[in-house]
Amino acid sequence: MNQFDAIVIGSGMSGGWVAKELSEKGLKVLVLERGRELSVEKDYTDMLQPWELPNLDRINEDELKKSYPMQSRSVGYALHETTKHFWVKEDEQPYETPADAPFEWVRGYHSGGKSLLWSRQSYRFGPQDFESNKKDGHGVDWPIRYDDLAPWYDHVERFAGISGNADGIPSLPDGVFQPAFELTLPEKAFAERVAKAFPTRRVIAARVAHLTQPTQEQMDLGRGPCQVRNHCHRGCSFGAYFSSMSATLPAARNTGNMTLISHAIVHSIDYDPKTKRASGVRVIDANTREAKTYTAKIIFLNAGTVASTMIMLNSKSASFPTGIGDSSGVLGKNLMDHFGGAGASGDMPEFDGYYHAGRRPGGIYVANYANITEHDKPYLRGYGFQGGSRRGGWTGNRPGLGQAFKEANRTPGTWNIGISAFGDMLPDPRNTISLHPTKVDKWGLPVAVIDCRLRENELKLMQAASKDALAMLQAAGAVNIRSTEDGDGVTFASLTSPGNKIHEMGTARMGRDPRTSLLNGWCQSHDVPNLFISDGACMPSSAVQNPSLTYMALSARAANHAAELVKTGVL
Amino acid sequence: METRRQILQGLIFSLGGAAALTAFAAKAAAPEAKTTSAAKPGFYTKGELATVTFLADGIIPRTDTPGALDAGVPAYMDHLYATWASEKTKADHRAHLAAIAGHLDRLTDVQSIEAGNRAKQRVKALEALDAAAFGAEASAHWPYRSVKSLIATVYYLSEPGATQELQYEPVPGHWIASAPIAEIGRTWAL
Repeated sequence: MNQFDAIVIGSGMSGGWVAKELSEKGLKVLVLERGRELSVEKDYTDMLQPWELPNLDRINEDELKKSYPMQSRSVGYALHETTKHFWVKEDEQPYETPADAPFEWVRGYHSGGKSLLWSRQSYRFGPQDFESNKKDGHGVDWPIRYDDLAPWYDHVERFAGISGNADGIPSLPDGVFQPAFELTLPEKAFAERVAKAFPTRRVIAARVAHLTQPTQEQMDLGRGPCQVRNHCHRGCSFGAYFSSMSATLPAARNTGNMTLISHAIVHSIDYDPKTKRASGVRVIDANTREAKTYTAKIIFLNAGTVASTMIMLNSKSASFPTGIGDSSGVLGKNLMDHFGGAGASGDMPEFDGYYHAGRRPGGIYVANYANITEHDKPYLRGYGFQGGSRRGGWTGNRPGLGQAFKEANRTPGTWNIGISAFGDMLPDPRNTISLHPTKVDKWGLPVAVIDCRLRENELKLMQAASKDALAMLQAAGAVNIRSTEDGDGVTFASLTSPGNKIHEMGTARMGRDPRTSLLNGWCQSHDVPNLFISDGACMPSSAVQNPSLTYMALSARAANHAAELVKTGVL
Repeated sequence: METRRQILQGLIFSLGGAAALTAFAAKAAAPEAKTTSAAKPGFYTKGELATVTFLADGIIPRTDTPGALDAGVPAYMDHLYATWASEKTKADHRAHLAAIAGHLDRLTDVQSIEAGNRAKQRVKALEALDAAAFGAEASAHWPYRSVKSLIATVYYLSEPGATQELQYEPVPGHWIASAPIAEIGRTWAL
């Protein structure tokens, strides 16, 4: 039974897609997942009411400090007593960084991986994003262009379900959308006033992977429309947001062609110099520590950028002394993540006669305009902004006692609107993932060493974003504005650490030249043709958009190409 | 009378989502989560519990809706500090309560000279403390503001606080971006 057509390492955002596409093409697929298999019934906590959450859903302070010190910085909004079982305990699975360069490595080791935990923002890269490296000379040119990926964006959007509007922005292409969540009145005013003051800037409804008008295909998988509860990080029993758990893994399972093995930690990938192919995947059972090797015609690495890179680095052979497929020597280099540290918010009391109902899962998005529709910037690339509005709720931070205090809290506070930037990080070979020379984890595998730093271009870019955020809030007529221009402004110290945005990518990049890249335009190893990597590691540049939708499209495209190669006997 | 779970189950049936139905069935079979008021005291001393109880009742008394004592706020806070807080946070909280009790004692003692009704004077002392904490002396009264915030948080996220004093919709089902506030009603608890 250990013979499969394909092995997919990882069951998260990209691995789920590969498993689905390959199994639907008739290939026998083995999915290796290092964590446990989650159960909607037992593991999702979205049906708990606020008063049923233990200790205000706070994790014991000592436990938080011991087990989640870095992740609590990045995902404190989603790391709670009733969700902590979705996040990796850092003390049990350590990694290292230089003392002066923290990296907030966010991990979810279970079926579905981080697809269960994401914030579901879904944007296509635009034509310019596939050309930026070539244009400014950083990194290597993408081997594909927007038009190569566009039909695959259509494909994944149709299946995943993305709510959004057709906004007609060339640099942020429209897709196959279900109805968007309507903007609030302050958000509509913000969009109109920003457009008037800055005609090259567009404020749109966030595009999120939530079903608002499910298709028959989606309902057949047991998925229902978003109930606007915003309990997403506890899992969604309605399957209303896209995850491997709600969508791709059930679809793959329905074919009868997928086998998923949990607790399967991949040690390395074997290479056969005679056939010049990857010949097997070495696995350690997380519980029993039993070692096994699985074989298949093709192997897809979808463990997540850092983990996929670690597996490749640990797959050393005489042919590839620095890691499988690494004749170029770029494996583990050019690590990128989006970064933040600029934003502004302010009140819009003119709309206080209005209130909302429901807890919407998204807000607004400001499409990148820097170096797209606004030029002559003192930095390369650009930034987008995510944000939204809300009315203040009840608070204990107000004067008054008794009846008066209760009465005051029965009326919501004023409307507040805010935006915060996500910047494009340049590919830089000095930003690296490597194997620790001596330290190993409890399974005997080298621990990761991550050295990733933001540099001058990133600082200049975020300083500009900060000024822009303030200017847009002012143009919108907001009052009581708070912004990152207050105090010392944006400095290296105030930028978010790499890892914080959980969009790590780039360490096994695609490219046109095998001497400077690991993968071709099909996410296929230049050196080892039956090895594919279609998670974030394959990305030659980061752009500014949240990348999951692009990982999905690249994975579906790569999987269909690989299936064709298997069917035609090439692989 | 329908229980909350039965109402929720009815909603889910009408909304679709097969996974939700199985999840609901599994969770409905499990015992109801223990209410916080059932938690036994474990952190506060008798004196501290009396201070927290006095503050909770003074800040959020029973009116036309349940108050903080009805919602079990002191017992919830007792359990919270016993099981969530680090040693430093526990010590800080004890110090905050001691500081608040000290302020109240001082204010009460002064005023008690004239009036014999200590309980009434205690309430007046709390009013004076609250006014001072949100006035010019705010920085000197962080302990009080911190405890007041926590009392409010525990109350408004309790079942009576969320569903009777304010409003809470477990499964909104649809999004209304902006409607006249009179059509929506009170502040959402969540």
